[in-house]
Amino acid sequence: MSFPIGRKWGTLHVHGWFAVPLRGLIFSRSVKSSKLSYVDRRGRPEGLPPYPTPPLRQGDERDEMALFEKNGGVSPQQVLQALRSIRDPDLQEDIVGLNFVKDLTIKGSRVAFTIELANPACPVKDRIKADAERLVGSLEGARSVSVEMSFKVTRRQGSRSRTLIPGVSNTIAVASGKGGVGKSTVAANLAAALMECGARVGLMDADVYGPSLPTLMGSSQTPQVVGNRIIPPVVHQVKMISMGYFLPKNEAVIWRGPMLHKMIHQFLGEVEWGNLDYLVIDLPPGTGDIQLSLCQTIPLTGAVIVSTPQDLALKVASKAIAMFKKLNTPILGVVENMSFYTCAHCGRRDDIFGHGGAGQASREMGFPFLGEIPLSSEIRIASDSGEPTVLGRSSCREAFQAIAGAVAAQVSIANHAAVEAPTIEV
Amino acid sequence: MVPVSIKLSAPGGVAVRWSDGHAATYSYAYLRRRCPCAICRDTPPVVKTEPDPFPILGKGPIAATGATPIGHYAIQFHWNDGHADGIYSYSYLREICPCEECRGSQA
Repeated sequence: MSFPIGRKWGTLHVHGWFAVPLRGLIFSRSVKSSKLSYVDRRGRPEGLPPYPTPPLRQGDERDEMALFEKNGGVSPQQVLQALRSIRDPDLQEDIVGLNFVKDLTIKGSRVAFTIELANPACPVKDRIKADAERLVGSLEGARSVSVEMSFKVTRRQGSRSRTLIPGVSNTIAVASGKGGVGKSTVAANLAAALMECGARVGLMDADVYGPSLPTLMGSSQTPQVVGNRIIPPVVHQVKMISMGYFLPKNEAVIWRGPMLHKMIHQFLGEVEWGNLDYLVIDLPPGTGDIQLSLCQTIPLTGAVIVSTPQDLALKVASKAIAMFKKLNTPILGVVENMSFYTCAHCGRRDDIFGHGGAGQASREMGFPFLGEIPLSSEIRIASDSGEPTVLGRSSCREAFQAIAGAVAAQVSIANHAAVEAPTIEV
Repeated sequence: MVPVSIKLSAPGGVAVRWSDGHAATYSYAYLRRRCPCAICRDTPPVVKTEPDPFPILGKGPIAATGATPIGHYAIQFHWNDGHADGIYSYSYLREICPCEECRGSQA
């Protein structure tokens, strides 16, 4: 709240505790994780002062402890203790220890809190919510429980100061050794699926030779340049940049290494990405200049490897895996594309490129298997029309959603387990 | 294996502490001579280790002036002779560890 106090002094801002004597007594007890403190229930971003406490209405109980004793409600400790038995499916730790329980407020027998997961696409979100409601509801003295589910995408510790793009929490490279296995389709749908879950997503087309993301996402506008910053067009609520925006249709990029390096630098450093949870980067096939420049320019959160089940593709994919290993870039997992084909006429399934090869290979190499995508004309039609499959009504959309969930889970695991980068002292 | 901390102006050169607890100090001349860039590999650099008799003309003995982390896997040192091309991957840095123990195992 603020008070005008004359022209010379401008406005006096009063927040949080200072507001208490001015606005009356606080009537609800709030707990942020296990520490008793007054917190804002409207989810104000960290670092900003809390919203002022709402005024008391007439007739409200003034003394919260008296209310607690009168109604025999529950204590915050009891609630947190009950929630301790819920484990995060990705991190395999309890949600209280992980500090996922936020904004716990108890008013008499009414308990309300938020569970803030690290994975926006968590497939068992509803089960966690139901479990929380059941566990807290079974406490003596808790008559009504309201649980809100939200998410806050994590980032690798210490990564902010070491990157060209401090506003971007996670960078995910989509790679494969071989061309034509569906990297761009997976990248576009991964970005769209994460966006649909509520995350802030960017999509960078690092494939200068064959930029296909403008077609896949259905966008062709030329990005605006303000000052010397490039403003990325927003397509399907995803910020996107591609070489395809800057090239006439029948022109090609014929560049040597240093130019490619410069492009990667510009796409990362000179594009106004703003604050993003995920930046999905679509790589060209191979293990060349672009891949190396990318891994040197920013500390990638991880790489998603796309392959078909065919041995030929898997052999080349293992080259890409070897490159990322050499560059210490975590591998988030392997996606099997063109996994099987179901005939539209007779319904018979045909494994054109074999089936399960990528899953088997990823298990052998010790990487998570992220999921499989069928070979389907629906995906091709959606892709050519510029509408990512995952945003349409295709039967294949669930495959992409599952993969996005698995990728987000791996990102949160990678961030949780990450060894901190070395400190460099001059 | 990754370093936990890299101190550029430790006594005796660059001090590196590794995630497995190992620690060693690399002298500037030792590191500069082993620069992994293409030019230095082809023609090993002449490294000045003695103070210059006419310090007004030169920059004195070799020293690291700064360093940039490269992705997740390497570090790039900046030297006072103007060179800064070498990307020392962590595995390479560990390989050339000058401590008694590691030299013994290299031989």
